[in-house]
Amino acid sequence: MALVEIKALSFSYPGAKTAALSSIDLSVEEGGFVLIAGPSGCGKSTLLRRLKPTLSAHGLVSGAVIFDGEPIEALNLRRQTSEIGFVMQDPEMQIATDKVWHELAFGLESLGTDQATMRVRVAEMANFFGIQRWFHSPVSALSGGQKQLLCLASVMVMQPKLLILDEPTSQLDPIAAADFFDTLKRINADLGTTIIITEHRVEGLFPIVDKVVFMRNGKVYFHGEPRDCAELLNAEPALSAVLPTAMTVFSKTQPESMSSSPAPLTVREGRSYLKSLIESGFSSSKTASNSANSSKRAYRGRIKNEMSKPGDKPVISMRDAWFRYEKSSEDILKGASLEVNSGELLCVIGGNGAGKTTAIMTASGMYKPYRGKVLLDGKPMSKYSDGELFGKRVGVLLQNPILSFVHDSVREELEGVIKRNKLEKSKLDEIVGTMELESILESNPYDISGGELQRAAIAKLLLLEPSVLFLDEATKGMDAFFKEKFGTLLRRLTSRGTAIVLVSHDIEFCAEYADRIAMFFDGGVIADGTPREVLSGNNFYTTVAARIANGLVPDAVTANDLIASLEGDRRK
Amino acid sequence: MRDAFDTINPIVAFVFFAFALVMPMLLMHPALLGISLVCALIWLFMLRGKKAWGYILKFVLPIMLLTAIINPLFNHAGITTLFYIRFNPVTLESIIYGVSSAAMLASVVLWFACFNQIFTSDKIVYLLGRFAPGLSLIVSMALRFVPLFTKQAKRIAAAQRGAGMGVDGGSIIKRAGSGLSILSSLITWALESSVTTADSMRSRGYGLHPRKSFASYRFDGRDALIGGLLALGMLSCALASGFKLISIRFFPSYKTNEITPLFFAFLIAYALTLLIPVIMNSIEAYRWHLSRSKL
Repeated sequence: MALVEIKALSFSYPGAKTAALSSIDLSVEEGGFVLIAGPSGCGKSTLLRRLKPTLSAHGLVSGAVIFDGEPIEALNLRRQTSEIGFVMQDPEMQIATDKVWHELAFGLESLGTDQATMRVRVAEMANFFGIQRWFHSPVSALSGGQKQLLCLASVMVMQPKLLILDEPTSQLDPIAAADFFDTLKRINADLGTTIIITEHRVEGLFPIVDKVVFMRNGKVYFHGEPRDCAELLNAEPALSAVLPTAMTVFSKTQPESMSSSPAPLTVREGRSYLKSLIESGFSSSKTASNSANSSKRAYRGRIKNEMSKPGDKPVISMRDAWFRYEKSSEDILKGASLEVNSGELLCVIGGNGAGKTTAIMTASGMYKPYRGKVLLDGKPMSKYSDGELFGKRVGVLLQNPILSFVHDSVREELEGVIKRNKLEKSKLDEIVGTMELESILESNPYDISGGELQRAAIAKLLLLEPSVLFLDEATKGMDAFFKEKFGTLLRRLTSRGTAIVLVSHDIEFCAEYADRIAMFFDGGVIADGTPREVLSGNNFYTTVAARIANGLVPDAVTANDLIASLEGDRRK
Repeated sequence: MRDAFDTINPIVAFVFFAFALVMPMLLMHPALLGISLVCALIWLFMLRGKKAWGYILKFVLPIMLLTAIINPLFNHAGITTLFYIRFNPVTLESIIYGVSSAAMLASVVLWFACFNQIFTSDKIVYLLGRFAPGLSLIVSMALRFVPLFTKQAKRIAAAQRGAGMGVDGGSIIKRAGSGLSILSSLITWALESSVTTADSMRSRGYGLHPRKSFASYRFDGRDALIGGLLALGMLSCALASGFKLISIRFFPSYKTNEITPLFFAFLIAYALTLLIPVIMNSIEAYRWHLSRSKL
């Protein structure tokens, strides 16, 4: 029996001209695991919120949502609370109380559960999620990943039949996200909870969900098994940015003879597909060496382009910098060196706590190293005053761009900078054009999407024409379409001579757009070079495409590399 | 080492502290004050070790000195005039009263220092949760959001600085402007993000009645025993003051109760009650010693 049945559901926000959802039909079986994908603003979140009446927006509704055989509006607050769990994006603000145990118990406290039952349920979930070790900790001591797990656990204690998650890993790093997905898989498999999730990060979800729904402009235009999405790709190549790498490579390179075989989803399946492709005589038996030669030839030109131009003088050079937050605390930077050349996009990657953010904060002059040097245009950073440095020479954008906004609209925000620094008024139109801000110029910063916010914040910095931009985790929470746009935009800025240093967990993005990648580990740079140099040799800390290609197709780092090299073979 | 009294049910612990704090305030009898001070000191040293010295020297002693000196300077009641300062009589009674209030204040402060060590936010939340679950939740939320906002304000200041709009540069007016914009940014952020918090709370049933509180502490046999002893101690105090075994008068002349065997018995009962945490710690330490020597 279907647990959730959505029948011809349409919805529009009050005063809106277009419908946010239009005639959606969808049914979710009990115990199902459904991924809803689609670009930002396609109506995913609106749809999810229709499944939890307490969170549903007001507006014009037609059609029906049936939950467990009853119209969902008929559920009282008590049943809704215990049977439908909802987890949102931002782990920090979802948590209401100061201690882990209290947060876990929150839902049961609301339901007025008796003490003995409360104890057992909380204990159970603490065990299931591995929370016992930090059960008594204050929430502020947890990492982002732990916070999101806590949010999930605090919903699961009520033993919901349906678990809804709205982009739950958008604020997490890849490792924490993988952990989170593992937990979801366990909840679905071990507890039989029905799960509906929206997510941009589909790579890890495709192998574990059993249904995928694609939405666009408030409509469902695909609904089926994950492997069937490959067909969708043939119809719409632009979707390759959203689908798992293995599937993209498969659908672009698959020979006629293999058209009936199921599409690969994981790295393992991708590799076996690649192997069978090579073995099936599609290339000669000497493919490995052949393709190595051919792909080397094919890439030589590109690699040359990717190398930083000789004779480039570094704008910023940080040499053997040591930094710690307090005298008695541990060193975060341990002799880190980093050079930033003008007009390059330098991506800084590395695991959590490797010192990436601290490194760019030190390189930008926000922090002072206690040992080592940071030079800007050949002059020590300490010789510049704050006023000379920030804004005009160096622009720093911290992780959460909303923090740099003070006014009610993007326009006021930009005008504020112009007025403060006595710039010419014409600058405004110029920057609006470059950063493509026309459509959001009058919007409140809190009403626009993460990607738009990032663009507006960068525009603010660019008004002062700094020679170096530092961006911390700028691609966090951006969907694939926005990422592409953002990458192109960064490229445009670097081509005008601005140097950009970007800290990111998104290795795929870095591989695609960076001129140079610096990989951090344990407070220092352990690898520094072109994306290909740094990523193609790595086994684990690299792109999915490189993991699929490892040992089979050399030097392929992005899905496009892989496809290009296979197509090159095919042409021969 | 973890204090033995720390593991006791917060309700019992709270009653103990209320008793320890209130008694010296109600009856500023030198014997009571002395006992209260000594018991609080012993426990504070058990709780904080050598660090207690700093607290006593920097905080408790100045308070005591100040109170003891100021009272006779401004309070001229009492019949035994010792000398005059600029035509103002300084009386023996007001000196005694000053010293007594100093001792009373010190004992309150010392017990409060112990209270701070034992009563973590968890216990306050638990205690309130027993009687007012709604209030308990508000306290818990305040404990979460006040530090979070402070942290956020720092982040905003850093973000402004990185964008060349820092508080450190420019004229005073410019700097004041930057400070204001940080505040405005913080308030906007707080309001906007509280929508998420509210959503998350509502989706977990906030607003349903009746709300219960998760009891992270149990009430076991030991709590009952300590609670019983505490009740006995309180009862003896009530009886002692009811039957005028203990009494004190400062003005117009200083007068205390007669010293009788029953008075001594009461003092011992009072001291034993206040020493409950110290005795618990000693017993625990002895048990550990025993169980170790058996190994």
